[in-house]
Amino acid sequence: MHDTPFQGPGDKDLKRMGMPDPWEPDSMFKSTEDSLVRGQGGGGLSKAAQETLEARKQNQPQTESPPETYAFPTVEEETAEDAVKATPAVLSEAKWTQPDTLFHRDAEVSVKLALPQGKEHITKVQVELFAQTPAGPESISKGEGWAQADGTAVITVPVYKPQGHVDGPVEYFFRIMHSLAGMLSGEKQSRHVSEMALKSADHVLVPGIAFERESSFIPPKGARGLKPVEAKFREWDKTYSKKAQLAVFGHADKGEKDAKGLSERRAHSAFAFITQDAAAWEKLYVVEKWGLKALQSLLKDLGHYHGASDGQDGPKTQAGFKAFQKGAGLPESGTEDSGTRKALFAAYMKGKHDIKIDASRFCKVAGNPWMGCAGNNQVKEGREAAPENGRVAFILIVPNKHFPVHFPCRDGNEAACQAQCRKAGKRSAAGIQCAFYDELVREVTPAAAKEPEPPVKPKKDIGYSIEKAVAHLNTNAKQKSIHKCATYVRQAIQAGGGVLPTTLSHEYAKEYGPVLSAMGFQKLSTEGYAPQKGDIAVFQPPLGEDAGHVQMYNGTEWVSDFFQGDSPDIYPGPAYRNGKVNYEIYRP
Amino acid sequence: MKYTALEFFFAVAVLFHAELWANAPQKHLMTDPLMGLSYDPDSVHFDFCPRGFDFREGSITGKQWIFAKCKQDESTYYIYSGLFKHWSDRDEKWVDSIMEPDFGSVVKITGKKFEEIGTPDVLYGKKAKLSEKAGKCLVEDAVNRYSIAFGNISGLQKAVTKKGIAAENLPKILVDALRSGGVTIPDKMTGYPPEKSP
Repeated sequence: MHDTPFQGPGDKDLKRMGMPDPWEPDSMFKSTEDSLVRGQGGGGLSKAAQETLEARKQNQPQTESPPETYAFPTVEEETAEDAVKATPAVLSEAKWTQPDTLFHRDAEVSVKLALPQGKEHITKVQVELFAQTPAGPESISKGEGWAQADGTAVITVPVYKPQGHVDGPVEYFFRIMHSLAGMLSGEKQSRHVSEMALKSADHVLVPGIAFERESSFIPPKGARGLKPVEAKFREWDKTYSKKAQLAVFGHADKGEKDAKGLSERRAHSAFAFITQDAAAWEKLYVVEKWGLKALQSLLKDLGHYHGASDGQDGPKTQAGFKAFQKGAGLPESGTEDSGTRKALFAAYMKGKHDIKIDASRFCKVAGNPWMGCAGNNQVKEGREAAPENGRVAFILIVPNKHFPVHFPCRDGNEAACQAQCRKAGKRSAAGIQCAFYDELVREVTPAAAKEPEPPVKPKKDIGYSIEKAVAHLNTNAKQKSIHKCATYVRQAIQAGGGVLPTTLSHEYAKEYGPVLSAMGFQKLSTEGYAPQKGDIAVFQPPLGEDAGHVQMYNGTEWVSDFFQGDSPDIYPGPAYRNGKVNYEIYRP
Repeated sequence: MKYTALEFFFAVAVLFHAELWANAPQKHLMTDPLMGLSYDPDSVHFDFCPRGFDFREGSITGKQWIFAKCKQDESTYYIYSGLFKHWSDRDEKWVDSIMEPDFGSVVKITGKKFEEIGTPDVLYGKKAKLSEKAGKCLVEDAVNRYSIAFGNISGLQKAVTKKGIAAENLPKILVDALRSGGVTIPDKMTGYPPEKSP
């Protein structure tokens, strides 16, 4: 924050002086990095600002038209000419309002705005958040607010990680703008953020859903494909003591109309199916005009219709409706109506496929428990249309104490998607553009990760001796399993000085992931993983088993309650190997 | 309130039935130690292990099976495995109601000498704890036992296919023995046709 009130340069002033548009962060920092970031210049003013003030003193004519590229639409009709003529407006006392914040949560900035007489109505203040990266400042997010009667404006900006950042603290600072007062740089108000606001646990794509183009209707084949989502959710629910949450992301393929709306409807459709909300399907039926073809496929799936699902009405279709209506206790009209459709949808969801997860277990965005990614994050790149792009993806999240998190997604507003997608760079998978989505998917599907492994934390961080832990395990492990892998590894951790949290369950070996995270162990990517002494691998159980497995690397081989050196890979046995069960690696 | 004799006997019958139901043994699936095939031990029958075959006190259920046996010179080799009680790490005690399949074990018995060689992963020959000859002999016997337990070679093939087992995830000598026995195994997991939707 500046020590003295600052009347910054207007946009026109900067442009006239050959400077880039201040609302374009990239261009701004290319030329004014020193002045903005390091706060050089007399009295906290940048060199550019001083020159601008000088220019104003000389009353130079204002001839240029307003800059074309504005990141924020300006509500007020005020011009820069008016600003020069008026008594200066002043921004001051800019500061963070909260003691700290987390990645993917909102941060608040407050500022005092003093306005000249006759301009009291121009109260809008805008904030841009920047992160310091090795390559220079990176624009992270923007927000706007309005000054109240006392002149104080509080503006909210979401705190995202900068592009490519994997782990460790990030330094953020903000810049505040007002159409009359210009800019106020908050580089002296920088703060560090180091903690994620959420822990995502798993990522489930639903390959079985084959949406037709421009439609969110889930046919029987797709409905069967949703079954694994429920199974996976139940599994994680058990593991995380019913703390898992589902995030549903819908997508649209290339060339599909209203990609944002369609992607949201697809996510809504899948959500409605899983929560058995037939009324929601009825609304989607009407909005998208699913038609008789969809209803025929449902009648067929329920065993009431044996003809082709071609959308053609006829005696077979009418007989199908009658048979269904009779069974459902409805008037046997032999035709579709709203009541019949709702009953049909309900029978399809509950009676036939019967997948049920409570709506309260879904992450919400702007009040709705689903998100649409428009045409972003495609799994198949290229110009050709690919049905697999128009999918619904489920991401299982195990929230930490700071949940709910700030999702950058917005209903009906693709600008939020675009803001995230502008952060170009390497992504975890082909076609993934959204930084937030990428981070979630990367975190939950380590195989797809392409980021370098995060640096190992020094041992002193958690007061833990790898040598002592490994020595304890080497001394006690047997030649064959005695079914106490969790206990042997735990005792080794404790021998190394590790203290287990008392609040997390460790009944089963598979539950050690959150325990190790809470102890300060670092979760690593499994792709290209090379074991190091003291690393711990936590396995989920193969199908039909409960406990899972946990093991520690002793520098030569994996050890649990038995020495596993005969294994050709990281897996402790063929059931894990052939089941390709999920596992996580933790490093002290 | 007075009860008639009929009502009394009815209540006793209900309680007796509930008691029987509560005490009914819970079904536990077993996983074989060579390929990780999950199966119902009431339907797929391997030979039971002789008494005193295992030393893991406390966890033994009495249900252990022999998956391979082979005589070499003066020694007899076994691959055996079984169902064991779950050990609660939190409470540090055995939980009777939860059963878990073992990783299995390869042992060598020479006279009265009982030698633990390791888990069946020794068949990969990584540490040469088991001679190639003994290993080959064991897996050939295993294929024979598996085909009998699963009904015939077709039954074994069905189980292998259902599990999606590929040669890349098995010891080479086991793959060779399975293929010699008439079981088709693709080199990679992607060699299977996609599973049909139910």
